[in-house]
Amino acid sequence: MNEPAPAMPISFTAGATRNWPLRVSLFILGSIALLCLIGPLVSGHPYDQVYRDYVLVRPSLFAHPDASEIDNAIAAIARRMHVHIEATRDGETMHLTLDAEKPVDPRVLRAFARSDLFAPAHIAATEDEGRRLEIDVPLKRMVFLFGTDANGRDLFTRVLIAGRISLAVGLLASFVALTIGVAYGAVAGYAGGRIDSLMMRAIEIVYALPFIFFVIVLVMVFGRHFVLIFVAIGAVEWLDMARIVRGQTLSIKQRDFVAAAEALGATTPAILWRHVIPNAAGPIAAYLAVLVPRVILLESFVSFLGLGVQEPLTSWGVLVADGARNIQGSIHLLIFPALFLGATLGALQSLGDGWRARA
Amino acid sequence: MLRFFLARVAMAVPTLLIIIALAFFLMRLAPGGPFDSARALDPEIAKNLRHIYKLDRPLLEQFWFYLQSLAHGDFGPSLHWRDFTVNQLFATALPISVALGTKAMLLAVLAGTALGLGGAMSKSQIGPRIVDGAALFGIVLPVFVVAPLLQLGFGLTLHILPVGGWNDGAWQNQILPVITLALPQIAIVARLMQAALRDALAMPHIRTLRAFGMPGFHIYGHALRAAFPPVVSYLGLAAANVLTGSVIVETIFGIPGMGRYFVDGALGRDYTLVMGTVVVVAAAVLLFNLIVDLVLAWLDPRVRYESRPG
Amino acid sequence: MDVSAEPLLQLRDLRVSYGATLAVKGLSLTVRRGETAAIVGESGSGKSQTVLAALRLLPRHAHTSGSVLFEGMELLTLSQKRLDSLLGRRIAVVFQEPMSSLDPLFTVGSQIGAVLRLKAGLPRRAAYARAKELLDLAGIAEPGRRLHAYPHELSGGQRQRVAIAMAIACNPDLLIADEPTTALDVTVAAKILDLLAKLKQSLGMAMIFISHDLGIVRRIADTIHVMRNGEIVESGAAAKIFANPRHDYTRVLLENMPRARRHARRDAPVLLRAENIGVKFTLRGGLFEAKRAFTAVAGVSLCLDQGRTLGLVGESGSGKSTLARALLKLVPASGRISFDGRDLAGLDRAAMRPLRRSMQLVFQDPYGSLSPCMRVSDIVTEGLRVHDPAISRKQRDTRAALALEEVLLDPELRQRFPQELSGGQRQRVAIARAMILKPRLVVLDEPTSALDRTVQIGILALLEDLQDAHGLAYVLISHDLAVIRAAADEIAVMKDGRIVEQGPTQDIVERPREPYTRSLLAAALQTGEA
Repeated sequence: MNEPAPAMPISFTAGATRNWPLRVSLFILGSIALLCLIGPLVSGHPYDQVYRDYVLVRPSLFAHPDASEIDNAIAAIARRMHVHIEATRDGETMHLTLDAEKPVDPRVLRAFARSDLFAPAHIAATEDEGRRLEIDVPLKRMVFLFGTDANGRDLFTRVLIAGRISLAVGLLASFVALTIGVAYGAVAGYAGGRIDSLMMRAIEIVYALPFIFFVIVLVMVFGRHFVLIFVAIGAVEWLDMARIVRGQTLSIKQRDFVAAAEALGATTPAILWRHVIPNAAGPIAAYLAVLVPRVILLESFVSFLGLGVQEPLTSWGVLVADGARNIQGSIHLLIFPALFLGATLGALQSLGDGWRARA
Repeated sequence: MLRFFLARVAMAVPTLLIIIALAFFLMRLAPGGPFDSARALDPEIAKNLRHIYKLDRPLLEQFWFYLQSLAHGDFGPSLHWRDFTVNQLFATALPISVALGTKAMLLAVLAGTALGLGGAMSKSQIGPRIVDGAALFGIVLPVFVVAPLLQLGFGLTLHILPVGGWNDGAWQNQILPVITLALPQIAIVARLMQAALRDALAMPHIRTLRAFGMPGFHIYGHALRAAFPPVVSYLGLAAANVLTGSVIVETIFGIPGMGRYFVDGALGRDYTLVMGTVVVVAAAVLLFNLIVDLVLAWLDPRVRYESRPG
Repeated sequence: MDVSAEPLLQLRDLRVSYGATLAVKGLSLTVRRGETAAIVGESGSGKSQTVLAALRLLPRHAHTSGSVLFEGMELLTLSQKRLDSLLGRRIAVVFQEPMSSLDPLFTVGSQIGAVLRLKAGLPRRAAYARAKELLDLAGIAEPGRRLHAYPHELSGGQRQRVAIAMAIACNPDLLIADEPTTALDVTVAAKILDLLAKLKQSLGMAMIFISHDLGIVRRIADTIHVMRNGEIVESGAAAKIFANPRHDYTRVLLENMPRARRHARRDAPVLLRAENIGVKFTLRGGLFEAKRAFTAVAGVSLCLDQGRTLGLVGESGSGKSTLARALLKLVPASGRISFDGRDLAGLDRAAMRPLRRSMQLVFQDPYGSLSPCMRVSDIVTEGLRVHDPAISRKQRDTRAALALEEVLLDPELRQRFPQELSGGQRQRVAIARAMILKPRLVVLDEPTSALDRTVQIGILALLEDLQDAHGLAYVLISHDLAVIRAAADEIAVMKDGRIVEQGPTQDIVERPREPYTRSLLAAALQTGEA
């Protein structure tokens, strides 16, 4: 039989289908997700550990403490304990010689233990009736890849922990939005007529309020609990999903294959399950890829305003807000979380664009 | 056209009423009240305050009072800044926000259209990709990241623009907030414009014009006209987005506009202030959507004959 | 036609490629002054690509080579400016889709006026007056009022007349008409064809007429070029090609529908009887608008015997598809329907279900009637899932293979998705889906309209074989009298929701009583078929 050749595409965008942005986006997202999952386990710093000796440390690949930090710390202890300290360094251990007018208070050892720079010290020798003390103090080696924040917490760990929260909120809130949206949209689209127009009217009403206001009112109502944030965000972000699903349901209902199924005598649930939902899946998935970054952005908005995730837990929005406050002097506090947030949003956005172009 | 307009207005009014009701009852469902601050008030004083602000009446009665005073244009007293009425607060805050918002929208439309047009007109493949790529940056960089970076660059490093403050609306103080607000909208408008123009240029009626050898300005004129409706219909959403952004921008730049009052009001459970903001914001969004609808109807003769486009 | 007239347009070895795919493969043809040349071929044969390439109207990623000479000027290398000065003034084009080829946002008058101002250099007032004359010339009533109309306020035929008025605005030497009548109803198409022929005569233009239908071309063309797969397979004077086609493919295109029906069982029992069927739709107005009722079908009565075919013919919007759905109780309707002696009136959806396996439906658009998410085997056996839910997966697969064989498809195709099939194959799948339940009545809603003629003949032959094998009754809906005449035992002519004339096929075709039937027949005859 005769096979007609497919009609020639007459379009100015044809031939411009590109695959690499999709792959790059997926790679970036995968790396960030993996880093957020595994990173905090291997970074060596709990996310809420405060290092009082390392406040606003700059990002660096090298281990702390460096020579000047050691000198400063020893000088501080010497001042506090009223002793004179001679220090020589031998690899990872410091040999200190303490001199004082009176016998050296053994509590000086606790001062070393309390410091974030040194491991517990032990006395090698006591001379001059306790006025001269020789002690060995091993150094604690620590790496702060992204530096530390104003409380002396490791930014690397915090960015990754924040990533977990932001991604989790993004996924969970999107899931909330997906569930409400698909159910609402499918019911409206399937019922049609008066019920449909009433349900759509309701959406238009909520639409007239900018989301942030609605979220803030909701957060105000429900309190600042972590779980409630994504419920609140999901509760406002389902509107578009409902519209999309309804539109899809309406148009799929009109398609001949649904009429054919009706003519075959298929039941309504069977038609919805076999025909409507599979055919609406493409646009739903494509929109989901746009929804996730929007939700993440909204969460960081709310957190930025101090209405979202509470300390010591954190999210990218909280970290960026923190960075914005410390912008003069400690720019790294803004740069790193912003970089992660921007890369995630950008990758998700172009992923969604790519999918939509295909759907 | 008049009928279309009236139908639209008639639909906006109940929408506004429902939003007010929704916000009102939602907020009162929240635990806690405006006088549960850190330093506990004397229970007697608190009771008096509640009485003065009619918070001890039944909820429906309170709602009725509120609607009544709203009808007179009275938003009631602020519960947080107890020396001011909400109207007094808005009298200074609203003009500031309106000035920022309109300038940002104007900038977004002009710059976005220019960029989109440039991208769509470029003969090579590179032009559109540059616009798309730049737009992606504009879309994904959150306002609260851009704002501090601009402060750092122009304020703290170059010392050519003030870092914040309003300074009675001096133009130097407006530049950074307006740019920050407009940036994501410029990006979206540019992308939309470019895509719409490319679609329009591939439409059969544009091919007809080419087939008649019509001059370029004529062809682009028709394409632009066909490309405007999707961009204009986005502007309704853009207005809402600018309002959202203004909350952040006003906070970062320390501008005493509506957004900042809203956040402070929400944190302080200032019912009347938050309600007032919700009413003003919702009315602004509805008004803007109404204008968008009218412009769409004016742009597209097919819409004028239907009362419910799209 | 004057054979010695000088050549106006010469295409030499024209090639169009999209990447590695060739759309036009080295095509040459000559159009002389005053000549009407027709390029005929089925969809995808490259006929539109040829003229678009000649005028450099293809998108940027299309690559064109060869030579296009217009009065000795090489169009492919001419500067854009000089090409533009030819286009619209000396060469004009009318496209297929009159709705989309006019700008929906501007009035008809301003669009014609723009051509006159920018191409003929007329001042605004003169352009306006001339536009009115042109509309009059193109046969539009009340041209003064129509000037202010937007395209969507006009009917399809009127829009095509506007497009023609625009094309002849500058008295071109060459008019290119790309399927100008395909999107129109037959009676309208016939009038547009008359108009083009008349204008061509009075203005002395040459014309290139592109069509998929050799029949349409017959009356208007001097020369015919038959295209297939990007090449011309046969060229020659129209009379010669019709009298003595040399190429096989031309013969296939010329082949008419098989004429008379062989069987006409008069004694068969009545299967379907419908009395006084009416269908009304309420168009939901806006919030502040009253509901409007729209009558799609009114007072239709008909009767169909077992094993016979009833042809429902009518133009678009005549209510024939709605009537078909009403007969199967897929849309709510008033009136009485009885199927196989059973009254369907009181049956609800559940009660109808067992009856559904005996009454099936096949749609016009094989692209839309198959779910793109399902494999062919699942599509074909969907009815079995409903009516024989006990059947195992393996049995279903066997049944699917058998059903595909019955419609002459390779059973291996059952693992494919509909997108991977051609239009004809998809329609066969749709038929297999209906046939697997062994129905007694099948409603065929324009089953061949979306297909090329060669494929149409195959589908109609298949339907006839199935009818003979299973004793099926068909309700065949079509706007194409040729198809109806080839397949139907009886014809009902529909107009505005009513049946205006009904009777045996031969009587209707040879002795139509109603003027509307006559005009339909005349249009079909004029365009070469029947």
